[in-house]
Amino acid sequence: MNKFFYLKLAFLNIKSNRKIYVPYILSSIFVIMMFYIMSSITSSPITKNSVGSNELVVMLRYGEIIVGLFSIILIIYVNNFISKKRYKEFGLYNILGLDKKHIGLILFFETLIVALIALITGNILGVLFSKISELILSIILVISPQPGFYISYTSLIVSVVIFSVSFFLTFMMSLRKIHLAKPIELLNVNNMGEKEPKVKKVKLVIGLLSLISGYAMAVLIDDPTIAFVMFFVAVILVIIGTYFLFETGTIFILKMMKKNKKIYYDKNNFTMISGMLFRMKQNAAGLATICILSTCMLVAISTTVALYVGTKQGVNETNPHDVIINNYQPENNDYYDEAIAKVLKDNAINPTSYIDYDFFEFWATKHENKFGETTVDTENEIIRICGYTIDTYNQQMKTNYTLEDNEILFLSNLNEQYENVIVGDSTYVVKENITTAFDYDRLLRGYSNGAYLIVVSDEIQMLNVCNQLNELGIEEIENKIYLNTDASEIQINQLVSDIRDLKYDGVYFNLKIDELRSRYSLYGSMFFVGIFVGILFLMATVLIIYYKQVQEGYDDAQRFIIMQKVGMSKNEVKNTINKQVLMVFFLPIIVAIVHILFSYKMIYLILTMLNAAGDQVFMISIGVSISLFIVIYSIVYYVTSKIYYDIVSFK
Amino acid sequence: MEILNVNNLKKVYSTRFQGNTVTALSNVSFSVEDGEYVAIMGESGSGKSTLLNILASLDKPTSGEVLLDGNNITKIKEKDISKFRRDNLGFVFQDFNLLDTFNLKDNIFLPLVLANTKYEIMESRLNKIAKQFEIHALLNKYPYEVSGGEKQRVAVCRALITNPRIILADEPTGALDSRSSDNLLNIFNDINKTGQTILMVTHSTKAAASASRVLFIKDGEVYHQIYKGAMSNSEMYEKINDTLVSMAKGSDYHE
Repeated sequence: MNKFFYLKLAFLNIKSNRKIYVPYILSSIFVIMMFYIMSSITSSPITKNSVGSNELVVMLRYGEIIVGLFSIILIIYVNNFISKKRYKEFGLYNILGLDKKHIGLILFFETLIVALIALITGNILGVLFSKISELILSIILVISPQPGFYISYTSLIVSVVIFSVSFFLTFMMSLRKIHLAKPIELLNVNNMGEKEPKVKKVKLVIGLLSLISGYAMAVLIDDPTIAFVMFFVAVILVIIGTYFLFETGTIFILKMMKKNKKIYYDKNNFTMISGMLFRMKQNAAGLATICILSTCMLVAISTTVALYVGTKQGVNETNPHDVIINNYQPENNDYYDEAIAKVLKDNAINPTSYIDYDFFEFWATKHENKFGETTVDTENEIIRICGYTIDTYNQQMKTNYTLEDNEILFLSNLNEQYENVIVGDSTYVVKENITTAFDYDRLLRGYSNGAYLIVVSDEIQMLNVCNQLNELGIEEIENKIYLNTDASEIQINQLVSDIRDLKYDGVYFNLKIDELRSRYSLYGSMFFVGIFVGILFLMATVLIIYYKQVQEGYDDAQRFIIMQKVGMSKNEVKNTINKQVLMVFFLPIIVAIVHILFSYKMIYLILTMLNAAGDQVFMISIGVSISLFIVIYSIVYYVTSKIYYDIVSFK
Repeated sequence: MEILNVNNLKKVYSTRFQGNTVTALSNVSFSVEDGEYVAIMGESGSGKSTLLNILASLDKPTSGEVLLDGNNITKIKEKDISKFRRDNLGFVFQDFNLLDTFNLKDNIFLPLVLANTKYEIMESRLNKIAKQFEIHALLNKYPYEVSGGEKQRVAVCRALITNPRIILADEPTGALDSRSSDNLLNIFNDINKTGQTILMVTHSTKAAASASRVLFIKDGEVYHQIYKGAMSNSEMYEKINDTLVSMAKGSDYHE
C-alpha cells in the first residue's frame, strides 16, 4: 500500500472526527497566533524605543514565557483527550489487520496535517494581528504608534520550533499508548464498569483546612507588607483546597443527599444525584482546574486593569506638583532664586502655583521629649525630624502664628504631644501641638517609627536645630520649589535643560511627567500581558469545558436511551441533562467568584502598596471582568450544551 | 377478555434518499387475552422488532391501530406517551438496559421514582418482589458486580414493580447462558400464573416453547400460530421447530 493511502485515511479521520478536531485545530491556531504576537511585540521597535523599555521588555518576556508554556500544556491536554476518544477506532484498525506501525503512520499524518494547518494559519494570523496588538499597546502605554509593518523572523522561527516540538510530543505520546495496549483493550476502553466513588475523609479534611486557612489569611491580614508576602501562601492553600474539595467535598454532599430518601427518591433529583456522583469522580480535577484558571484570569485582568486605570490618579496623589526643583545646597548657590525666576520667564512658563521654601530633614534619636544626634551605638530608636519656619507655615496654611525664638509648633505623626521639646542643648517651648501642617505627606507620612515636625521662628533657629542634631553641619538646610503649570511637556523639558545649563551643584528635578511615563510603561505592560494571558486562560477554560461536554455526551448517551425506554419522556431527559450540565458548568465559576470575593481585601492591600487608585476602581474592574466573563461563559454554555444534547439524542 | 388488539398494522420506512421504501410490517393483526403468555417468532428482518417498538409506543405505525384495554395507543399525544408507557407497560430487554450509575435497588425503583411514587410504597412493593425473585442479597450491588442472569432477574423486577398491564420482552434470553435462560423462563411462567400478561419476541425455540401461544411472523405478516393447550414443553418445542422448518422451506403449512 502506498503512502497516499495513509495520508488519505488521515484526512478522512480528521474529517469524520470533526466534532473533536475542529476545536483542537482552532485553539492550536489561536495559541500559536497569541504566542507569535507576544513574542514579536517583545522585540518590536515600539517596545525598544519606549521610555522605561527595560520594565516593558521584562514584563513582555514574562508574558511570552507564560503564553508559550501554557499553550504547550493546552495542546498536550487536548490531544490527550482526542487520542483517548479514538482508541476504539485504532483498536478496530488493529483488528482489521493494520499493523501498529501502520496505525502509527496514520497517526503521524494526522498530526502532520493538524500541525501544518495550525502552524501556517497561526503564524499568518499572528503577523496580521501583531500590528493591531502593537497599536493597542501603544494606546495603553500612551505613546505614539510606530509606522510601518514589523515582522519578527526570530519570533516566527521560535514559534515554529516550539510548536512543532509540542506537536511531535503529542504524536509520541499517542503512539506510546497504542503500542502498549492490546487491541481488545483499545476497543473496550470506554466500557469499563466504574465503582461508585467513596468519600476520602483525609483529603476532605485537608481540603477544608487549607481552604479555610487560605480564606482566613485573605480576610484577617491587615498589613499590606504581610499581605504581599503571604499572598502566595494563601493562593497555594486555596488551590490545594479547591482541588481536594472538588474531589471529595462534592461527593460528600452528593452522598449526603443520597442518604436522605426524601431528596434522593425525588423524580427531579434521582438521576441527577447518581449521575453527578460518577461525573464528579471523573471530572473533579478538570472542574477544579477550570475554577483555578478562571480565578487566575479574573484576578490577572481585574488587578492589571485597576493598576493601569489607577495610574494617573496614583501619580497625582504621590506627585501633586508638576515640577519639583530640589536644591540640596542652597547656601552654595548664589542668586539661585533670581536665576530660576529668569529662566521661568524666558521660557514663558506661567506657574499656576509656585512654592519656594527652605526646610531640613534628619534622622535623629528620641527619648521622651529629647531629640539627639544619631550615634553608632545609640540605644534609642531612630526617628525622623523635619522642620521649617513659621513664615512658611503661615503662608501655606493661611494662619497668623507668631513665635518667639524659643517657641515652636510641634507635630508628631504618632499623635504625641509635649509641653516642651529638647533638641540637643536647646529647650523649646511648644506653643501648640498642631495636627496638620504644610507638606505633611512628604515629610511625615508613613514613618512608622515616628516622624516629627518642628516649626521654628526663623532661619537662625533652623540652623540652630541643624547644628544641634548634626555637628558636621553640612547639607543642612535644603530648598524645594513646587511648581504647577499648564505648560506643555516640551516647555517643561526645555525648562529643565535650561536650569541644568546654570550648572548649580545639588540641583535635581522630579517631573510628574517622568513618573507618569514610567508608571504607564510598567502598569501598561502589565495590563497588556494581563489581558493577553486572561484571554488565553479564557480560551483554555472554554476548551476544557467543551471537551468535557463532548466526552460526557458520549458517556451519557446510552444512559439516556435506557431512561427513555423505562419511561422517561424526552422533556424529562432534557431537564435532567440541563440540570447536570448547568451544575457542572457553573459550579467552578461560582467557586471562582467566591475565591475572588474572599481575596478582595488581600489583593486590594497589595494594590495600595503599588500605589493604585482607590477601592472603587478595583471594585469596578472586578465587577466588570466578572460580568464579562459570565456573559462569555454563558454563551459557551449555550453552545456546548446544545452539542451535548445532540450527542446524547444521536442527532 | 382481550387486553391487546392489533388491527391491520402497517409500517413503511422511507429511506433518507427519497423514493426507496422498505415495508417492515405489511398487515399484522392479532389479539392477546388478559393473562396470556404469547411468544412472537420470526427470522431477522421479519418485522418483529418493528412490531414490538410500535407496541411499546416507541414508534408509530404507518396505518392500523393498537388497542390496549380498548384505547388506541397510536393516538396518544407525545407528551403523554412516557406516562402511558410507565403506567401500563413493563419492559425486559436482551441487553438488560440497567443503568450503571444506580445500584440494583435504584434500578428497580427508577420507573416508580419517575412516577413520583412515595418511598414507603416503593419499599413495600420491592420487598414483595425481592422475596419472590430471591434478589434481596443483591439489592445494594451495582450492575457490573452481578452476572447476566441476575441482571435479567433485576430487569424483570423493574418491569413488574409498576404492576403493568402487559410485559413486553425483547429477546430476554438472548444474552443469557442456558441455565440462566431456563431460570428466566421459569420466572416468566411463574409470573404468568399469577395473571401477568406477557408478550415476548424471541428467536429461541426453547423460550417460545414456554409460552401459551406462539405467533410466527414472516415478511411483515402473521404467518401462523400455535396454541400450547395441554402440550408439554417438549411437544411444543417440536411443533415450533416443524413450523420453523416449513417456514424456511417456504411451503404452505396450515393446520
